[in-house]
Amino acid sequence: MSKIIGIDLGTTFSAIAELDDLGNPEVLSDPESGNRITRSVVYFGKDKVIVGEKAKDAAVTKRDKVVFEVKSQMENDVIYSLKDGKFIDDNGKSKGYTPSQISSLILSKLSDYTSKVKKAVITIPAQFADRARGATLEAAKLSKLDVELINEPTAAILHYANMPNVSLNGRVMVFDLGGGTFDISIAKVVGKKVDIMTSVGDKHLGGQDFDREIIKLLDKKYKKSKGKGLDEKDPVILDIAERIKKLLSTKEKVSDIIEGPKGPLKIDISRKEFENSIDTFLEKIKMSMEDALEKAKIKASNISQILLVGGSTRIPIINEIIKKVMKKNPTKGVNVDEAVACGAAIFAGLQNKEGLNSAQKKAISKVEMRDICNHNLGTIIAAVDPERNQAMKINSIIIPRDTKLPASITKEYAVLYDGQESIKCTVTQSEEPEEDIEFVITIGEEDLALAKNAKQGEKIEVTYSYDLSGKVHCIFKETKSGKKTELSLKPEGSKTFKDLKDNLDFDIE
Amino acid sequence: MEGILIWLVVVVIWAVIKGAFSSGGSGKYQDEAGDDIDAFAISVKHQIPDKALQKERNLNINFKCFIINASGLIGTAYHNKIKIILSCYDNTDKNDDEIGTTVVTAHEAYAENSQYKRVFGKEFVMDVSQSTYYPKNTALFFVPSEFIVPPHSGKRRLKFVVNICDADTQVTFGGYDDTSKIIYHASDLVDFSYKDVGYLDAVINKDKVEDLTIKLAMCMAASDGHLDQKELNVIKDWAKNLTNLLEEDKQAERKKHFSKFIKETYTSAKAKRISISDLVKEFNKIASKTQKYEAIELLLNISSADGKLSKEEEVFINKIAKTTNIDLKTFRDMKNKVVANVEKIETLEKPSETTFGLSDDMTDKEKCRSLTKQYSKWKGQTTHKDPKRKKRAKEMIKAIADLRKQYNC
Repeated sequence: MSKIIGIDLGTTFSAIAELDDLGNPEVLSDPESGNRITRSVVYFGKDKVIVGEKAKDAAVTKRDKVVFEVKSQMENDVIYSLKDGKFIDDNGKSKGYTPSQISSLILSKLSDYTSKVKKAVITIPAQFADRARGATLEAAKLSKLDVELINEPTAAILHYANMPNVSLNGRVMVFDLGGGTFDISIAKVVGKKVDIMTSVGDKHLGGQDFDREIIKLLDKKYKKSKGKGLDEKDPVILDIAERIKKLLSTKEKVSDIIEGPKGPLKIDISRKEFENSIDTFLEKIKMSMEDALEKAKIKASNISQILLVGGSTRIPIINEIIKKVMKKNPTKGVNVDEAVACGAAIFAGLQNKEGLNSAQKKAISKVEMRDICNHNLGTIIAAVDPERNQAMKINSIIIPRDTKLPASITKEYAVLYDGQESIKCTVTQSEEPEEDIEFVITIGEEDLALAKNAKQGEKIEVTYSYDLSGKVHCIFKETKSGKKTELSLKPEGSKTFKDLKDNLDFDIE
Repeated sequence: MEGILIWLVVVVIWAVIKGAFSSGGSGKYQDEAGDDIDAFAISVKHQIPDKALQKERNLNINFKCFIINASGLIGTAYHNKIKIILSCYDNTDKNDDEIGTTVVTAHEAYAENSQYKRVFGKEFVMDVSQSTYYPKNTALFFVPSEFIVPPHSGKRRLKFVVNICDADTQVTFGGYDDTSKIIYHASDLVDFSYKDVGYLDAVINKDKVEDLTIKLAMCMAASDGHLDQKELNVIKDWAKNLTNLLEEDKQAERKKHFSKFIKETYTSAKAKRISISDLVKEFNKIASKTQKYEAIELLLNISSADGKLSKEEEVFINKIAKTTNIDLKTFRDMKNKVVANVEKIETLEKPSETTFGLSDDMTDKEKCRSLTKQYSKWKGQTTHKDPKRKKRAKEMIKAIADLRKQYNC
């Protein structure tokens, strides 16, 4: 029987879950290592590609051939160059692998944990830009998976709401601090009915930032004692930093022997030192929590439960920050590393009910979910700023963030001057309702040729439709003539899997 | 901004039209209540549209508008379509029955080339029957005050004119192709205090304002103790652009003037012989709001010419922005664009508080909230394609976090 699976494609770790015969989500282990979570690390070997813990180990000797944190590159126009050992701008001439291609290798590894995968749901950070969503879909396509996407905190809340003996009611906050991304979602939950109200976060905040701060501390102490600093990119040092961070969650002080360029040195790091080193990140976390409450238009006291997701929520200061802002303790008792994958499996079941057995259908029969648009989607128009008395290009929002999905909104604009020949149809995305075009991202652009002799003031209708999987369809229409331009924001074209194989750089010294 | 969006996007042209009714025995038309329908007339009010009206028209306006109310008959026995044309004139120095000087749209009010000074006017075509009429006080047009510019500043008397014309009537620069096509005519006067510089004032003062702007720019460039070629080039380019639309002779003359003037001002600024307070006072007196923003934009461009924003430059710009009475939020938005693009910002004693719009009259709680908003704004830039902007965004977020710690948020 073909399977329906959910995949948490994380920055540092990934996980895969499926619905068992009774409809309960079950995390699948790596058949080789037995691990329930898999390192999101890819090693490009001489004649093979390795994904997971072994890939990370390979970094000790072949650092340039190992790719870490590919998820943080999903929205960038870059390739990983094995020659340079890093992500570089994709100028079309250099050889390398796109983030989609590298992610597809992680997805292929995960989907090998089971067989006959029919349909998959992949989770992404709520703040992922359209380009990153597209790159994720492209990665799935390359790994031959038929997928849909769901936001990570939404998946987590689905899992919590669907857990036996758990009763979620009221407004619930999901606090998702993973290895590389941070999301906060607030949802209205009644039984197993989940209505997302808002999602905010930071695409570049996670456990790996904390590791880097520990490396800075180690480097400072080593340099002070030995007169020369550490190689901050040394995978061994990275490994030690991660270990120290984890131990500091349970110990007040951790010691380790650091092998540096001037020999070994025993270095102590206290929890206080660690907490001070990450204070800027903690402030960002506080701001995101306040921002989420403001966007949901509620007070901290209106939140009935705070659910934790992601390995970095094990850090004690994170819990203290949550308590300080929310004036209550977060709920504990669920595996924070697996909640997202489990929720994705439930969502996969919801999307593919015909593929479920009767027990599975019954298990998720009461689950309902309504998601929201996580960005403001707009277009660039000409307007007069009355303050400056100047004609300016400004961003006009068409679908505001937090609009319930699916959504379709039409706004009317006008031809700017008599005889205007065309208009530029620009689709923009922003986290805040920005008017300033410098602070928005253009995600699509086309021209619309207007009918001859267009008159100033004649209507231009702009309709944006946003479906549940986050796909955007935009129509710019000249009302009088009926002429229109349509933009479907689909994943960008990428090299095929075959190209990837052909492009493999076998140059390993 | 919102107001103008409404104007450009929705174009509030509203007509409550009643259908045809039987004519009374007197030869006049009568409405449903049997009362005579008056001749076409308008009355103009200058106010924020009241809530009931806004609700009825689905508007959201929180600024003053000229509301042109119409009443009376607009239909004729010979037309099934008419064009309704609104015009506005400055009637201050005329008799009430004279037409006055044209009023222009704010958009192009201070444009260099007179052909871009679009005369204010609005029109639309509608179907009518013999007895179509507007019931009393039907709001016909909403014109945001900021949208029109009279020729001079101070107390003005505006004359709004609405003509009901043949549907093919053409109006160019305020003039009718054929006045015999006017079927009904109505006008009303309204007093209005215009605080900014009028568009004819701007023409008279234009050369002087440009020179003062160059002086300001030079003082700005010299504020950090040195004037370099990059900064000078920004000023030269700005001046050169001003001459682009001039006729050949005038262009050569103006270019010569600017070269000499820039050189002289450079020497004065370097020797610190320019009194900034006098300069700002004189500038404020004759520069229009648009010219003030143009000057601020120039100052911001100079500040970023060398890729860094020095603390002296920041202090200078902030001071000018404050004394010119421009909108500080608009100024902050303009400055953010520069801040996003410079490679280095020399922080002030209290790091970048003004950059984030914090002021002494705000409570710590308000400051914390404002900083959170700024965080959301800059966060989106941390993934910008331009590495310079990405770096700047990260620095801004670090500064925001540091300030929040300072305010114990």
